[in-house]
Amino acid sequence: MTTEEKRKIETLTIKVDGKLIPAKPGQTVIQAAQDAGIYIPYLCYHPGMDPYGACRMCVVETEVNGRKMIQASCTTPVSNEMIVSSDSSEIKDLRKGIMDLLMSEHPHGCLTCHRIELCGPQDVCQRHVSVTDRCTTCPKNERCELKDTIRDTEMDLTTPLTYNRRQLPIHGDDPFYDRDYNLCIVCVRCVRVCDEVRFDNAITLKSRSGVAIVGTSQGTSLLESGCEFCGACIDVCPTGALVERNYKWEKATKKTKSICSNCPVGCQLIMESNEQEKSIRMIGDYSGESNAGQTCFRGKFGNDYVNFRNIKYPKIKEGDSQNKSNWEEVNFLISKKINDFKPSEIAILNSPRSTNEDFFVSQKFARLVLKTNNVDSTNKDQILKYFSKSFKYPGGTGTILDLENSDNVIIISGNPTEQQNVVSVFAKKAARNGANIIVIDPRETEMTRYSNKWIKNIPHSQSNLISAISKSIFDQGIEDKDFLKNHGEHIDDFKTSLWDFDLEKIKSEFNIKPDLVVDLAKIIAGGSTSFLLGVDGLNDSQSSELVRSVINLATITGNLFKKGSGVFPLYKGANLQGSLDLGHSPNLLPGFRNIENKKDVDFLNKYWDSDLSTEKGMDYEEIIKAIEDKKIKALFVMNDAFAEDLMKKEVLDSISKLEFLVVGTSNKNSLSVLADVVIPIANFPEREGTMTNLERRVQLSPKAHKSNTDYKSVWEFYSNLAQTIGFDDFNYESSKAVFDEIREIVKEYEGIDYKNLSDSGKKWEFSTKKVTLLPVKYLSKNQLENDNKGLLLLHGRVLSQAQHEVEIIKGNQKNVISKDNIIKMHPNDVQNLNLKEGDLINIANGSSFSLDGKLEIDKELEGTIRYTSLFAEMITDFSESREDWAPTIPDLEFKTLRVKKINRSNNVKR
Amino acid sequence: MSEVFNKLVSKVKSQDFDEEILIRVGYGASGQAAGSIKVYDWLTNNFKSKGEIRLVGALGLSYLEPIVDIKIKGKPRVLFSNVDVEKIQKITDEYINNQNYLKEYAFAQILQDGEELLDNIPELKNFVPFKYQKRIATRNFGEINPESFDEYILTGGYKSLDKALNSLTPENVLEEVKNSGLRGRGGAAFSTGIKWSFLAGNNAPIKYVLCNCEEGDPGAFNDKGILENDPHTLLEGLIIAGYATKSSHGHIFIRQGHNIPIENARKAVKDAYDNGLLGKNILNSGFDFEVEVSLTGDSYVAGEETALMEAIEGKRSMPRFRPPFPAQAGLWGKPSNINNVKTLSYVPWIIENGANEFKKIGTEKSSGTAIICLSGHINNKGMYEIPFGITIKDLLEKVGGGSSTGKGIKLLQTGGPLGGVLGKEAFDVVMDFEEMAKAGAILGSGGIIVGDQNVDVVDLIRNLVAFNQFESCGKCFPCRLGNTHMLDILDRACNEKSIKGDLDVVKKIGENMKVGSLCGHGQLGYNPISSALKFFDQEFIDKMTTFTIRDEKSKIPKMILPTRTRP
Repeated sequence: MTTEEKRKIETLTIKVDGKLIPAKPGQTVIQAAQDAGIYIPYLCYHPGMDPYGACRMCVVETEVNGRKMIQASCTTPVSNEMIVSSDSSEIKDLRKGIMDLLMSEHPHGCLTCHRIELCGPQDVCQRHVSVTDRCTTCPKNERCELKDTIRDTEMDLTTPLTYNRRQLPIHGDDPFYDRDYNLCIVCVRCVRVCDEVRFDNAITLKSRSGVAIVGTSQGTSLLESGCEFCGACIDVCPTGALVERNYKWEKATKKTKSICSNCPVGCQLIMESNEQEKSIRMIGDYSGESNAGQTCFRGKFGNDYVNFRNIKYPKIKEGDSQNKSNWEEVNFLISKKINDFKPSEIAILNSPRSTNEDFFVSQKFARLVLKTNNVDSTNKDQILKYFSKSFKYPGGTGTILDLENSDNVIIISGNPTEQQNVVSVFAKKAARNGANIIVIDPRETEMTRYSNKWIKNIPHSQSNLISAISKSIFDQGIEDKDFLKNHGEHIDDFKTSLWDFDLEKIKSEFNIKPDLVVDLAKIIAGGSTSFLLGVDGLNDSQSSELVRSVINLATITGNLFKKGSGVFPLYKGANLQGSLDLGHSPNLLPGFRNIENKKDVDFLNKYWDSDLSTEKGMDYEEIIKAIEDKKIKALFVMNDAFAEDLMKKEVLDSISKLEFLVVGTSNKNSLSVLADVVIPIANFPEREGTMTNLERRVQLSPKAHKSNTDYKSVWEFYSNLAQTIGFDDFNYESSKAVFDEIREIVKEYEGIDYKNLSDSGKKWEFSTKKVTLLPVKYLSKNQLENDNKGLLLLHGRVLSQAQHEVEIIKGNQKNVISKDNIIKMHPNDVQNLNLKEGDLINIANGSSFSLDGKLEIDKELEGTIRYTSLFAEMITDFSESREDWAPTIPDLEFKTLRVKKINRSNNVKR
Repeated sequence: MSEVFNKLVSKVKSQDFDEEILIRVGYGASGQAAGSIKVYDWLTNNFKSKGEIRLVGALGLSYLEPIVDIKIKGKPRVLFSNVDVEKIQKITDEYINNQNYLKEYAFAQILQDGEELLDNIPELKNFVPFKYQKRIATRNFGEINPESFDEYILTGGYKSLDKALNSLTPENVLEEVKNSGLRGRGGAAFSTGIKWSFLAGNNAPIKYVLCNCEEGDPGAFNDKGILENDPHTLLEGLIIAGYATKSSHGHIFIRQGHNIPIENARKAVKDAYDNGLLGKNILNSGFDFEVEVSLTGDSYVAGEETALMEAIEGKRSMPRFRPPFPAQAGLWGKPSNINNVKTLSYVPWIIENGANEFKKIGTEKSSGTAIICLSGHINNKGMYEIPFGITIKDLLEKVGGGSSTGKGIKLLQTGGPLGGVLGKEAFDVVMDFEEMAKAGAILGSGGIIVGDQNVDVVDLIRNLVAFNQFESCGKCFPCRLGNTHMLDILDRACNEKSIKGDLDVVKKIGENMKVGSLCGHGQLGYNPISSALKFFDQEFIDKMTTFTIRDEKSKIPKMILPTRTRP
């Protein structure tokens, strides 16, 4: 039964402890009771997962048609006029009896003591609870669900049972997690969340009877068990068995909703802060609409950088040193300095991590104050701009949580498990529901392990396959004609352009069998299909071709704007969507207005009472080039995350020759040391602002910490600066005031109420649902071969490779992975290079990449080198990091390499 | 008889089974354990030229194994007991060459039409304990080679299937089984017909009928026995069950390690497929049914119906919660029905002879027979199919032949480790599901372990609890921890280290387990203790409340402790 059908059925009424409450059919007793505010204690039940029925703490007596039974309320569905008794003395005794048993395995001296709130860790204890067994020394002391349950069962000081401490070793060697199974109550929530929600099965229930315990099935380390370090198990653990290693014993004094700014999913998180206003923990918010409680290693552990700020006040460079300054001086200096440059010589860059308000005020500052259109995000990803050609909007369609309703999920040239993790969680859920998962990518990524079709296309030729599928759909006459009539435009031009895609030609050039194309056409046209579309490794024309071919395919099969479908753009910058929505782009003005369109420019001129320059601005890549060519002389860079292109050595050399550089950051980095002015930028806990995620959901990240008044968000900095210069129009009281102006200028944001955003996000909708079917172009093999010279590395990365042996060794007292690297090549390439199977080879690309491994012959994809590494190899690098590593985790790049034979390896074993 | 089936039977009949001398060697697990392999090897090496040597299943009289059955043309079949290589030489010399049937070795004879009775040897049907039996599910035991499809057909096998498929509707079959009063022999004793009707009422296109041969009870070997000695009877019953419930698939679920049953079941399924008794359009009736043999790792709880489904699905075998019940969502989320091996093995006979014939056997509420496995301190160890209604006393004295140690019987342990013990006071109880339950023990799967006066009850119970504790899957808290603590306390009692109040603690834990546990394993986990307390409470009180060091002589040798499962 679908949820909608369920809703239609009338509500039932049940009686719990003498109180009549409403219940929905299909609900369990505990859910109905909780909805009505009646507390039934529980341990193994968790609202985000299927019921399990193990702890028996939620037992109640039910009476249906006069038949009385004692049942677990988490597994018993409600039925009309059911009478439930949850607090009779019989039930309470039963709970107490079971809790007695449970306590015999959990340090409980404190739990059953009435002084628990009064004691400190080192107090002399009259009950002789050893220091290590005390609740006050448990990392989950303040958030222990077991403690709550014990209080509810009114346990007393006596238990006739002998206490048995398991004496298991504590696992503290893996990245991020500490696991102490001595505190485990075997509620199996962690195993269930890993299986049911995350589909990783990295941990399992081991052994049975009295020694049943959670752990990894074979080895001792999570590194080899396929763990993705998403932290979902920690979030659901009711005791101190699973905890984050960092800030393990920190007490949370405050919890604030927060939006993760490490990727475009924009997970809703709950941030816990301590007394010193440090962000100590991130917990997935189970009511989050973009993530439903899930997050990933980047959201859970990648936000620690905010606690290690070392830029605490504005600084001005004098001679060789940067000296402490203040805001007046800074504003005065900048306002004076900018007069030295022509508008075309100044550029403004903002990290895609910035908020919508930041973007809006930055571009307004650039356009109104600096009179330049050189404004962009530090992001090379152009995918959304290609979208705007077909959709008239730079943005995808579809809803992340709706992915699970898809019949087919097609993942093209992207690596969502690492780059947009939560998207992949719901794609995997669709797989578990029986959806077809089709991966079109020559690299081995985690999603290929879930796929029932993995099409290893010749690199960069994806668009040919997609358009061939479109052609086959028309040939078979299975296109969605109604949808095309209502939403498609210029269909005939598109149809004509498909003539180039002869299935036989594609077969001979790209080795894609016509049957496969026909099959895929049938599958895609036969059910609701979601496309997860990335453009990894593609150049500008290839990306543009791929995006339009996918949108065309989605349109002709009617897979847009309906349940279980859509095209999801897989880009990297967290708020890239917002930056385009708000015109933080050289030629795009706020509200998707075009700088070349006079009407659009006039509207803004009238609104702002300004005279906007219509000279074409430079985008990020052009700006970098212009810096190297000395055409740009002054540069503002704010929020440096995601700016890895600026940090490249050769770019930094040119940047150091700039006449004027303003850098806004919270941490000293290779860019900030070159700056003439350094601005202390507020991190996300220290400011308020909205961000728009890849499903176009505008979400509010509230201010969590009291901060030093010197820390300013980007929009505050620019508005103060503009006011210093004399622009009164920049007088915003708060981010809400900025947002109010956004709503007036950006029609799509009009319906979003800032006040309501603190409860939940809101998606903005396309006002026109017409799709332009752009003609497609066949990319011939010759053309592609001219583009790639040399052997192309197809680097893959997965969570585990069951077929290869992996060894866990201790490096720096922590577990690290040691394994033989297997490098696969086509026999022809092997022959050309005079190598043979089993040779030890080194593959390298200048100085940036070098890897040794054993050569294996595999008759696929001539001209490529295929190598799949393990996620665990990467994750160990981040575990102890205090840097802002999360936005720019190593990409699975396509690189051209040279291969050489070696005798002895330096890096096969670490 | 339908045309297709007739053709099948005639094909089999054309094979020649007429021999001058026919020797059958009991080759069931009990026979093999007692050494029948050696006897068979000797016979094939030395006797092959003189007659045919066949392997047959066990007769059920385990204490007489290895049994060899010699038939000379024109004479009755003579059954020799406890045969070893030395004896078989003598027997073949004397009987076959000199017509001297060595009555000291022979224990029974089987008479056929027109044959003359040999002196001094009872007929098998009058042989004690064999004569108390009414063999239905075990009717072919010792008669046919379990691996031979042809021999099964020759004894009238698959006739019931043909009758069901081609002259009865599924509703008729269901009605017949319902009317027969057949009840589940796995332990719960629920009406089989009603259980089937739950599944039959569900119109899903894919439905499963599962047969449970997990059989992990110590002292029970009747499920294995049926698969070892006559797997086709079960398979026939399973197909009929599939027909009656309009199911599409069947699984025979066997515990890993029951090697002979696994091999036999696989062979039987293969033969049935080869002969068109499984697959599409069985016997031209339009009924399609697929059967698969599934295995699990060593786990007692895998025999619990929902845990068994988890195991077939390839998961850790832990029980699911109910509802949903298997008939709504079972294996792979599809409607399923699960029956014990014994239950299904009655079905062909019921279809052949009618519900009324079956109802005539046994007591009013428990119709039919019980397949009893007798072991422990008793003379006639073995497997007997006895009609319900016999008293425990008769079962022990007449069928079992009394205590094997000569010290008198003190207790019975029935229903496996989750069952209970019955003391002397209960020996007048009639064997019947209800009566047994009233007495404090359950009949369960039919395993009965007999203990003589020397058995230390507390120690015995400690062993049962140790088994239960070891086999708990570890899912629900009351079972995982309750069993562990009960074992702890009984351990203390056996080591004379009891603490004051231990008995009350055990009682409290046990009662909580009974109502609080997720599945039967926990709910019944207190049974051994509660039933023992009913008959032998004084022994518990002695051990758990007084701590005097007892007389060294009266001390019972310690049982070997099972592996402790706590770290």
